[in-house]
Amino acid sequence: MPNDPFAVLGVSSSASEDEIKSAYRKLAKKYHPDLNPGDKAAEQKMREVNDAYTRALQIKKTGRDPSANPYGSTGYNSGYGASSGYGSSYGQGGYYGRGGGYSGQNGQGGQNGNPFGDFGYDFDPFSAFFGGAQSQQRTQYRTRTYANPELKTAEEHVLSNRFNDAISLLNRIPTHDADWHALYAKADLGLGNRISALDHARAAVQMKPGDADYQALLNTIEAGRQTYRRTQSKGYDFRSAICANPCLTCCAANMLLNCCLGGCGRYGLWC
Amino acid sequence: MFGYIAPVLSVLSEEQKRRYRSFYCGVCHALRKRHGQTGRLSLSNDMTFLAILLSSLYEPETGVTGSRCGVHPLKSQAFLSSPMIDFAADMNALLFYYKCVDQRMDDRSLKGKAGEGLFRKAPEKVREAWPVQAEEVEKALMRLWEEEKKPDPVPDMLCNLSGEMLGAAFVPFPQDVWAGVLRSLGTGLGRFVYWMDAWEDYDEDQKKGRFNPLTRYRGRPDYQDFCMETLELLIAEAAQCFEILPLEQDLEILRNILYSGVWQRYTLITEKSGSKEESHAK
Repeated sequence: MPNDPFAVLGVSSSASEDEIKSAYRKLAKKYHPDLNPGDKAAEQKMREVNDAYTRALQIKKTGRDPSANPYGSTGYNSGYGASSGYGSSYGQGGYYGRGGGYSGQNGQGGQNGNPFGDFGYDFDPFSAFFGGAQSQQRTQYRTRTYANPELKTAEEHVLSNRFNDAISLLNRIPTHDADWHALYAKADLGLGNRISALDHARAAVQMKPGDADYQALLNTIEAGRQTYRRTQSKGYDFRSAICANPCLTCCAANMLLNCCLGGCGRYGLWC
Repeated sequence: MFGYIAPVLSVLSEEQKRRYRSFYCGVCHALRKRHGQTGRLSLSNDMTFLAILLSSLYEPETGVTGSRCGVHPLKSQAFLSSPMIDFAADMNALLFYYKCVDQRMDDRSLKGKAGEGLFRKAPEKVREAWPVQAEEVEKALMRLWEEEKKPDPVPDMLCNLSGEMLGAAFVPFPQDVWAGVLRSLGTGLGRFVYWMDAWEDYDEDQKKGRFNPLTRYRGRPDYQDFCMETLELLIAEAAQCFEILPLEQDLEILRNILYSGVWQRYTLITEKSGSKEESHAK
């Protein structure tokens, strides 16, 4: 890919994520199409800045430059801005146009309309930004050998994105060993069933603690939690300061009473 | 909504508290302006978060007004007004209306019935201003209700639909470059709120014989850990989306909410039940 995203944003590659965000905002205010109506050069510049922003942020978060892969910034061709006047376009319809989200247990499941599926197995918040262009990067599972041929069939369903088929087959198998749980977790992930996926992945690891595949599966699901905890520990963990007041709404209510007539709870109804 | 998405006020600086309040009051005034005096009854912290978030992202022209409130007539309170605050207020009214309908259908609660009556005009009004969002919120809700009627609904499914509903309410400009991230953020928060609410209401739902999605997990020995971990899983996804948005303004307040504030009720409830168990042990 061409230019260094950090250079485009005017920051060093050691800049923090928040510094990258500030730098982006400065440039966005300068080149925003609404402020430069009809200016093709500004529009082009805005595109570059958008692209640099997502790349720089992704390098910071994942250590990978997204433009090093074939899906990188394809499908992403839009402008920054709130104004409806500026016709930004998600290259391929984007997340928004992808059939409205969760298609669920009874639908066809699979790729379209399924947020977790769109994000790929490896949840990637960037894909929401890239309009799902990266969803094709779905993590490939390694196939395994199973004593039970039905598990093999279930695995085939998972590998070809027939998650509902996999689930109904698995539901009919009476023995729930580690392999069964792991396949269930993978089918769940395909359907966007986060809670159940975590549950089954944990069960698989508990039953077969040494299995690298199952540990990797669990780690992928839990990656977001680890990031969350890291950020919390960087000065955003105020849970110890949560007042021991028996009723949280009292703290809130104090504030509200200073504020708005008829605010939440004035009549004790909607607190 | 449920009020989970609120800041830990005690650690905010005076300036940040004032700032938060000026948004809270801003949403309140926008509710009065657009939905009448009774509109204010729907005011929630959740949608104040949305107002701050969207204001930070889009930096709309924002007016500051001092006004005196009935409750505190001597002190003038600053409140903000902007199109983003109006949007948050509209979504607040819409979601509140459907929450009331839901409550009324659930257990014929008077509260729900009263709210539904007071806010019966809200959907139409919001549909006029934000047709796409209103339609999406309603669609997700209809599907949620349909799922809930099934004999053994899949918890994740309900969680996801509930998320979708809030996700739709997070996107003022569907064509904007940030629309996808905002939607995912809202969806993540919606899932979290649904699961947290299910967790909090479990005992009461049992007592009243109401459906609760946690029932199938309740019997297990690691129930409490399981709940904590799944909640964290859901909020983490929302936080990941949040961290992609190029935000500067009010970043500290927003992170306070996402990384700590959302755990307030959880912390208070577990502390309370913990001390109960301790006293039992004695």
